[in-house]
Amino acid sequence: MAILPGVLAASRSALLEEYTGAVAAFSTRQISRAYTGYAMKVREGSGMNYEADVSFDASGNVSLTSPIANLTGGSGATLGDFVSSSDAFCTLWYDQSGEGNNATQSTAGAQPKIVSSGTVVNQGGIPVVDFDGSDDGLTIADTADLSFTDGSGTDTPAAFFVAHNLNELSSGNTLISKDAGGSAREWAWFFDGSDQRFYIKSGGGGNQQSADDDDTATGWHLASLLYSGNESYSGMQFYRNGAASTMDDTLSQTYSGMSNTSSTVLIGNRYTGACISTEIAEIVIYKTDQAATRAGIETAINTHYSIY
Amino acid sequence: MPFLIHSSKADALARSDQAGEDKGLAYHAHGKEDGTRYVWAIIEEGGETARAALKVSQDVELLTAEEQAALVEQLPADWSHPTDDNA
Repeated sequence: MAILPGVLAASRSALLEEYTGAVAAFSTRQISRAYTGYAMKVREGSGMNYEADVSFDASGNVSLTSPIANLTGGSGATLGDFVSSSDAFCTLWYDQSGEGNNATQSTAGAQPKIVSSGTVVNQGGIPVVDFDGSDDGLTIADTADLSFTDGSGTDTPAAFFVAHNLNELSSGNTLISKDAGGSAREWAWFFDGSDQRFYIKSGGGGNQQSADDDDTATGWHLASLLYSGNESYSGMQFYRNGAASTMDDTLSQTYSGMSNTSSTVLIGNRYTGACISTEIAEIVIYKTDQAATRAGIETAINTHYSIY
Repeated sequence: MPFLIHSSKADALARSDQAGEDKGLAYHAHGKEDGTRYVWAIIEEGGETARAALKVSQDVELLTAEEQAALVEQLPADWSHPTDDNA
């Protein structure tokens, strides 16, 4: 018998109701009272490769007590029963924003890990999705929600909030991107060996505006990125654990607004490969100006995770 | 990581798809359109030749003996990586 997703307890986060308008929101915890779907779909790694949808547990988190449903095989009522002592990999991370921008991975070898040898991968007890830095990544289908343009050549603001345990700063490796190369390039948040960097591409490729962050470091932290939509590097600002970073190494080329291309959004990599080694607990993205609400969003996230 | 070089992305994808069927992944074994379909990730080459490499990080036993013998630890020296003007 299928088990329906649990009813959100009053104590669970209402982040997406307090700060409305997210266009994509992925988390190992329930962050919307309105969201009644699953947390993620997993493939168990015992060799049978059965898949199942995983709900949030009674506390609103992904855990071994999370109810499961829609099994393609195997047995059990919970993630722990289903996986036993083997691994489990995230094949689909459901979008809690209500926009339906789910992130998927159809290739077994490229699916990030959520359970390792019967234990939920965690950062100090916080469940995280482990991207191995080799070939892991998730893909969101092309959507105008994540093209930071009005479609008529004028950029819109963007805001990203990512709680993750970054393991490396290797050059080129990418946290999230909407960039298919060629004439389908929009934006990317990546690392250049020592810093993190954000670029926006004009006309589907070619010229860009970009800037990097002098305060980049590995480790468990809340990374935020705001882009004002001003079509310039000057509108880009990284934050680490709520504090504004020093932005430098800017690049300003001819830029006439972001195109709305057909490229997909890649979490954990870019069209060049460039897979990043990190463990992600949460990603929330807005296509609206969050300058006035950024601190509130960060506080709300940190209240749950106690990162800093 | 071992790589298996194919002459095109289509060939590499088809081989990973076949391995997915052999492995009994959900797309094949259970008819789940949103299920796991492929076994190995692919690296595409840039430029005109556009070869593709399967990243055989696991399930090497799904390869034939000939394919296993053809595995290489590094991409070919003449591999054309996609351009990335991200400076």
